[in-house]
Amino acid sequence: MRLRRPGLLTCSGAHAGKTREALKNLDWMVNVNIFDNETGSFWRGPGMDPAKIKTEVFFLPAAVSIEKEGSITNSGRWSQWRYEGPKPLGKSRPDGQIIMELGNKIKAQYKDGGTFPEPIRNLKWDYLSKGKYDPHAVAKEINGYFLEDVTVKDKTFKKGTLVPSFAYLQADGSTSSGNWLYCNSYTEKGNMAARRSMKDASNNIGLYPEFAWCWPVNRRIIYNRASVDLQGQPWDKSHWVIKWDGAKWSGGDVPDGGWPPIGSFDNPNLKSRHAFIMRKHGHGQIFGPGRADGPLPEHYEPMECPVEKNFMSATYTNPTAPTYGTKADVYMTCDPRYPYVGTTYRVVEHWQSGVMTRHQPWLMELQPQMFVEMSEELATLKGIKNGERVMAASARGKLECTAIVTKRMQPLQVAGTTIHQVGFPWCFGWQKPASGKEESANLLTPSTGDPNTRIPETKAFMVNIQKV
Amino acid sequence: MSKSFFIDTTLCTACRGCQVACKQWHDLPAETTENRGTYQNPADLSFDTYKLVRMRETIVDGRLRWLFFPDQCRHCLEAPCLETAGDPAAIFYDESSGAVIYTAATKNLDAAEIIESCPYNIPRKAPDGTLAKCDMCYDRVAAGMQPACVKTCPTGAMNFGERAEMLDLAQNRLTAVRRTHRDATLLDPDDIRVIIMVAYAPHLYHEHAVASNAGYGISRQAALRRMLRPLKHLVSPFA
Repeated sequence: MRLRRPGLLTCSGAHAGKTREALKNLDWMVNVNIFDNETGSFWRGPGMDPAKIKTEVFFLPAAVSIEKEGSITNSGRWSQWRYEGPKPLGKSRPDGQIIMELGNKIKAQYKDGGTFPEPIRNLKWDYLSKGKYDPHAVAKEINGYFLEDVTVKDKTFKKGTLVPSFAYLQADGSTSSGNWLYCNSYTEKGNMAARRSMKDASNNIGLYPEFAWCWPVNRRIIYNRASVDLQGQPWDKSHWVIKWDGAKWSGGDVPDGGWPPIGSFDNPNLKSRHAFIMRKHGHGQIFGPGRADGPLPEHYEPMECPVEKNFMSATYTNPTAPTYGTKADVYMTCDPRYPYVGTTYRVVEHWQSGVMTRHQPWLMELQPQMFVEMSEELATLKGIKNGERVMAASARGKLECTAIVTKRMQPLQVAGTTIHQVGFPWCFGWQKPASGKEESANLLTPSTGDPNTRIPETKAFMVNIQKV
Repeated sequence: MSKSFFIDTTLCTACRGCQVACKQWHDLPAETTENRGTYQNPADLSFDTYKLVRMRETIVDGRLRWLFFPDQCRHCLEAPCLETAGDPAAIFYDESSGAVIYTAATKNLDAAEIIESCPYNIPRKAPDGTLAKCDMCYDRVAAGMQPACVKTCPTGAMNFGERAEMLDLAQNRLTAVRRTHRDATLLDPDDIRVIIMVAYAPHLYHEHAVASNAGYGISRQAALRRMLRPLKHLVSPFA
């Protein structure tokens, strides 16, 4: 079984054709999404013969984010609670509702048997209130409870109350918490993520500590004891984060550890600690050991590139870059069939793969079709006119698109050779618009990427462009 | 008391939030479009498109510039379309804002004549002859709100308020922008309520960025009315 969510692996993942083929191997798939899409309907996509595909697909219609109450966390670690706006349309449901009901059905199946049933039978799964998914119940579970009366540091907490912060979580089973980072987010004081106070902290640096909530324990700037000198005084007096008043840290942000300042390195306060508490030696690092490559930056050519040697290094491509060995994993470098550099990017009018935005008529009015941007020089070379449909191809796939001939694209001069570059937005897919002719740029991109993160190399690969 | 827009094209990023907000507020349908080799869509204003960000790539002083022009009805102080129509049941001024408003009765007008009378080539017709264009969101304005396009603009390109305030803002921005763009200019500020500032020559943005000098297309009736009107507009608002 495979559970899928909004996001669209058949369009947003590199070498999308390989992924689409691979999906045929699934026995069954559950697709939870707002609209029909290229993934849930992979079996009836271009080049697919439904009669030969054994995958059974279940499509569960999901509500949109604004139709659901719950929290959203941003990349600044802020968790913000949002209310339900319009009600979900038709039979679409919030993800939480879907997973709760599915879980209850699975538990019922395992009630009287099954292989290794205990984890499923014993799973705490009581987050419905009057049959409706209750995001508050889940948020509280994530924060954590005292499961019995507990006394910690001279304070006694009653069974069933919410744990105020992760400092009070115990290792003996007397407390529970879904995620210790979020312990402090929903307490006896209330739903911290729902706060909207516009009052800034005493340091006036725009922290707004009571606007929503931040993990961990509402500390907005982590490792903030690095902002003070050995006496605990801010390096930057007019933009201070925390400061030591002689007895404690006062004002500003939540200090990253209440330990007192170091004092001096000759005679340090032994109660103190260095600022970067989660690092081995307590110091910031510009390089983390254990990475696949590094530490010094190096220039490698992409796996598919237009030059026969790397002018800046003795090593051509990154020897630690991931590559795959199935028949579908083809890479063609310096191949005359694919002479132009391709790259991918985004447009304002569509979001990610376009799985939601391609269903919005006003957005499709603005940006209706897959396109390739090329220089006037390349267009002249190929006899391509602005607005004409062309065929773009790589070693892995091909697609039809509209040529945008523009001075904004310029040929590159590399070691005396002219190298042409073209650009594609990756927001299209065959499912919508209904013509099926506006396809994903990821049909062209290669199955390789960053050695550490596997972020795919969708920004540099080789293609050909031809008149249709 | 009357309203004006100030549109600062140097701040416009062509996000087209204004285009979409206008459609949303007025419940206008999306047109079926094609990619014609540009990001601009639709190609032109229409009965269903009151606001259009026009895009032109052009070389100015040896550098490539991507010029964005948020086109819309200028709500002329003395609208030639209104004067040509001569029928307040079809085209009238909204008293409080000064907006030039079209009604369903525009169906009875000679559409070609009305469109030709417009120095900015704005009004567009439906198959049955009814005319439509930007209405300054005068319903929103009457409720103390900004027009939808202004409300949604994320960069400050779109501004709206009392005419005197908008003229001040326009003049201040013009002064600031002229420090780096000596050809920056305000387009027909004395005659219209939608004051647009451009950084380069107006014709580079759109052939109808400024009113043509000839008052062509005005009917004889309207021309006569013009001649008889007191010459109040000789006093410059910048004096």
